[in-house]
Amino acid sequence: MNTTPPYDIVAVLALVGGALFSNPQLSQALAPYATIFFAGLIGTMWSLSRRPTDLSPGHRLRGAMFMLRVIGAALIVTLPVALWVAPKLGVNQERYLVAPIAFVIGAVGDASDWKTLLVWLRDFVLRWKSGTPES
Amino acid sequence: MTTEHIYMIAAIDAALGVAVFFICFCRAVVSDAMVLRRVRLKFVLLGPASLAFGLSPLWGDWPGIINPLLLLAIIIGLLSETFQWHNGPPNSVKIDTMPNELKEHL
Repeated sequence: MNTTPPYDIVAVLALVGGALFSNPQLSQALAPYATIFFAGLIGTMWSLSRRPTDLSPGHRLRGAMFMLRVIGAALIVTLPVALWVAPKLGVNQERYLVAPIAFVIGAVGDASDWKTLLVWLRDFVLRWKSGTPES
Repeated sequence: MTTEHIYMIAAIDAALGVAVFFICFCRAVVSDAMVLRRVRLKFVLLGPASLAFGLSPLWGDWPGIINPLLLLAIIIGLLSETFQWHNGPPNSVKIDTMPNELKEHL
């Protein structure tokens, strides 16, 4: 009988991955955050692809930091926003709102993008109130 | 298939999913608002989808032998156009630098 433990890199990776993946409690706990993560990731990829082209050294690291900031914000902000918005929209289960909110947070992007969006919204409301809808 | 084989396929699948995501991330980093929306949409959807596909055992969906082969084919497809993206997005996908004969087909 062969009792030698696996030592090649693929076998070790497989064992580590298997131990991580086959934990049902971990899967249950991760489910809502996985939803937020992937919805936020799609949105963040969109806002990342909209940013000006940057080919200077370290551009990938800056892109990764941008994604980390935005997805981190989505992971922190999404659930409280969903809990706050759900009763106002008449949705009795906030989990239905988690993915769209995370996507929007990601798609808007960084703090400067939020600032631009808020300024645009303010101008839009002011124009609407004054009765001049032209942009 | 033994448990070890299943774990091994899952690990290879996860590594390939991360690789596809990384390639899409790199394309997204060098893209800008002048790149055609349909081209950006390809990387935006393919990257996270491949990552989710590779990490599918996290929600109990174990990959078969075909899954890593599909991801490998996607990687080869993406790498085959790397030379075009080496210095940023190619002119053929940028609205401002696109040749007129291509604009006719938009």
